[in-house]
Amino acid sequence: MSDNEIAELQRQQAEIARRLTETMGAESQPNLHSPNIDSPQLHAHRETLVRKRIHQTSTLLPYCHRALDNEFEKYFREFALAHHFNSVDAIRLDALHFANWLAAKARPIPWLASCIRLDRTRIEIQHSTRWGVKILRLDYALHHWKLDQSQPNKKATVWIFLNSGSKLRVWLWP
Amino acid sequence: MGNKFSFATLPMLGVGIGYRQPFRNQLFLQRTAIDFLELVADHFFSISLSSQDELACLQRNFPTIPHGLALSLGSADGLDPVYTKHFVQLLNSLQPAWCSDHIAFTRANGIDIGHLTPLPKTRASLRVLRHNITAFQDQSPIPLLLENITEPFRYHDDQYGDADFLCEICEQNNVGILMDVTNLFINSQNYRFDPITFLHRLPRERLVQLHFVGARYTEGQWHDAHSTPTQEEIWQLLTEVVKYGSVKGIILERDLNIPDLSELVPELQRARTILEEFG
Amino acid sequence: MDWLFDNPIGKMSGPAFLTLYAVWFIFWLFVARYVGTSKPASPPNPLSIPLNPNPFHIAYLRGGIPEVFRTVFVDLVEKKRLIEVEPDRKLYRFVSIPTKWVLANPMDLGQDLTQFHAILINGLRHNPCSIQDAMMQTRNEFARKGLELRITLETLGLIQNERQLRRFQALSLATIIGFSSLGIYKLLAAITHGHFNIFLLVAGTFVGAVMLILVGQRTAITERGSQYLKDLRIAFSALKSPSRRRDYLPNNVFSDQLSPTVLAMGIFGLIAIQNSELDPLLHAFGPQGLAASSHPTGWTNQIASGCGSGGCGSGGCGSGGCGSGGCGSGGCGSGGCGSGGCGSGGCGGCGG
Repeated sequence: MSDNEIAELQRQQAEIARRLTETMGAESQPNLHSPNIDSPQLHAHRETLVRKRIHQTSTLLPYCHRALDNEFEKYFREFALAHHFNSVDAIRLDALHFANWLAAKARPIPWLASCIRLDRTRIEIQHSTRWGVKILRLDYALHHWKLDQSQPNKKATVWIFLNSGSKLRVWLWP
Repeated sequence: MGNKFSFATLPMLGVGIGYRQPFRNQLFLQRTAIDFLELVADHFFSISLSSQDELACLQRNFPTIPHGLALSLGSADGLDPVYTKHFVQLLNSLQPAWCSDHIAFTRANGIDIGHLTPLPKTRASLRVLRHNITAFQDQSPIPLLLENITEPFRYHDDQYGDADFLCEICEQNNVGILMDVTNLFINSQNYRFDPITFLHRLPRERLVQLHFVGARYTEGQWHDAHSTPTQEEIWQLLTEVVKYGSVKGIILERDLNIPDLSELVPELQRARTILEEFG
Repeated sequence: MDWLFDNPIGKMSGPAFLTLYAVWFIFWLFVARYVGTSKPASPPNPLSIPLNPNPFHIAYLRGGIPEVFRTVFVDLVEKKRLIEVEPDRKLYRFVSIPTKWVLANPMDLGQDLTQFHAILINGLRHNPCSIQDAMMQTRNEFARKGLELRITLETLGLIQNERQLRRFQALSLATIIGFSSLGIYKLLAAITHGHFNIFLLVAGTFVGAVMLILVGQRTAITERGSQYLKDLRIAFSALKSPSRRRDYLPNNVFSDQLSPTVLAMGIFGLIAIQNSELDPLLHAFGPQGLAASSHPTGWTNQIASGCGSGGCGSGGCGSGGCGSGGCGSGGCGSGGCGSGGCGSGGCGGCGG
């Protein structure tokens, strides 16, 4: 078995991931690789993922969901066309960004602004209670660092990677 | 973990439920029906101090088995070091009898799909799984079980049959099988194969744990909705799996449309009857 | 005797010595606090919550005999076996008097209930009396019956035993002697040298000793007992809310004998009946009763008597943030599929 097969699998998985999560504008990119599956099935699976995100977001934004009723799904599908988050916190980010998006884009209906504020506040408060544990567990400690000199004689950047998975750019020499 | 490990030495845990927050208030009122809990590992990574207390309370009062969702053992990019570290930390804290995740990938090329995606049944997949499982087992000696998932699509270039693929994974990596009976039923219905024939090709001593729940039939396909009571066909299949395998634990995995816990007790009791009679 | 006091401390001037004495006191304050916060030794393995938790055992663990009395009283009121006696409003129009209670059925013997219930029922059989009077009347009998509870809890390793209590008392005494020894020495030195302006020294020693006693009070609950109480509060956190208690149906835990309210009383104290149908009872128990019942630190060590004076623990229980399935608390799944973001909900369930 050659490393080519592994590379082929990598490309296949990357293509599947791209097609399942592609946002608006991405569909104009050429299909880099055929994932060897039927497109209708892939599309059906993408639809499942969107429905899952709708359900998770409605759980985190219950008042918005109640205020919008059937329009909640319609708005989220529009939001999902342009937003996908790659993070362990993707569900929370989905909810927060969707709430902000609703505030800007949804038609004004009674109570919606208050519902958005209330749901957003609940999410923020819940998240804040984890900071104590993150600090205790040294989630903000250094995992590794990397020097990026992709532009020699121009500038160098040091990237700091934390235990939590976050990365920081800390130095930039002109 | 050495190749000499035998899954027959794992303790018999009985019948339990997948722990969800809505169950918390009723859990201690239905203790006679619940032998152990399966915890979604992701829910207990970065948690508040009060949730840590809750985890400690569960651990003190029930045997707990952590179940991962995003180890992504099938990812050709390798394991996510941060997720793996958190998972291993949880294992060190709980010291469970075993842990589990899925034969799937959830991440590729920096993109988090957010859902379990099936693997092609190829030699390349086997090699990737072996690499990732070995990397995980080097970090934790806790026995690992792998769960079969519902396959929303299949690949044209599969080189192995369903059962052969699963057998290869188990033998290469010395892992056990968490048989999701509902998923087996769904795949067998959607892709028209006999689940019993599939079952009898698996190594019976590695069939350690089962999941079950109701499925939903819509638009000509079965789906794992995790939201309905268990259908009779799934009960029959579960009975066959218990008769065949060396099952140590059965979990009712209800995620949606969660009723009062007392309404799930009859299902738990039926599963216990099956396990006691045929296990 | 001059040789005994012929040293820098013996010859130190008053103000200088008082400063030194204050520093000495702070040191012993830390020692007393360390002794006070140490929990009595207990078996290392935790005690799991039983299938049928006994609210009266839990109440005793939480706050001693007074808490058992309050729980029994509330139980009888909920079962409508105790009723309130309306005072004569014309006679007491301008005076506030405590509410009096009497048996609903004078022939009630309470034999179908626990012995604590029987004691209280007998205590209220003849004359209506207020809660405080009933507590005083039945105190000795409750204490006698409480000894059996105490032995049970000691056997389980949930509260300290007599040997641990005596050891703690010895340590406390040693702390006080250690602190006051310097003051007494200086007192003798001052008298020997003919200095009699020793009022501040005497007062400081006395006040310091009292403060050390207060600071050094230790809960009688062991580490195992604390964990057990904490687990109970987490496991039954929904019982704290009267509205959610109504949802509990009879099952293998609750019955006509044991209601969710009584179990909530046992675990959380009087705070459990706030905003419920029994809320008026809080007024009857008085603010002292509520404060004692809700004290967050557990019942303090009873050096003098076996009865808890203070209370204990309603404390915070892990009530899991915003409701069920709220953000960060492990929301339930969606579409039946797994792989949620970690730590922020997502669902269980797997299989795609």
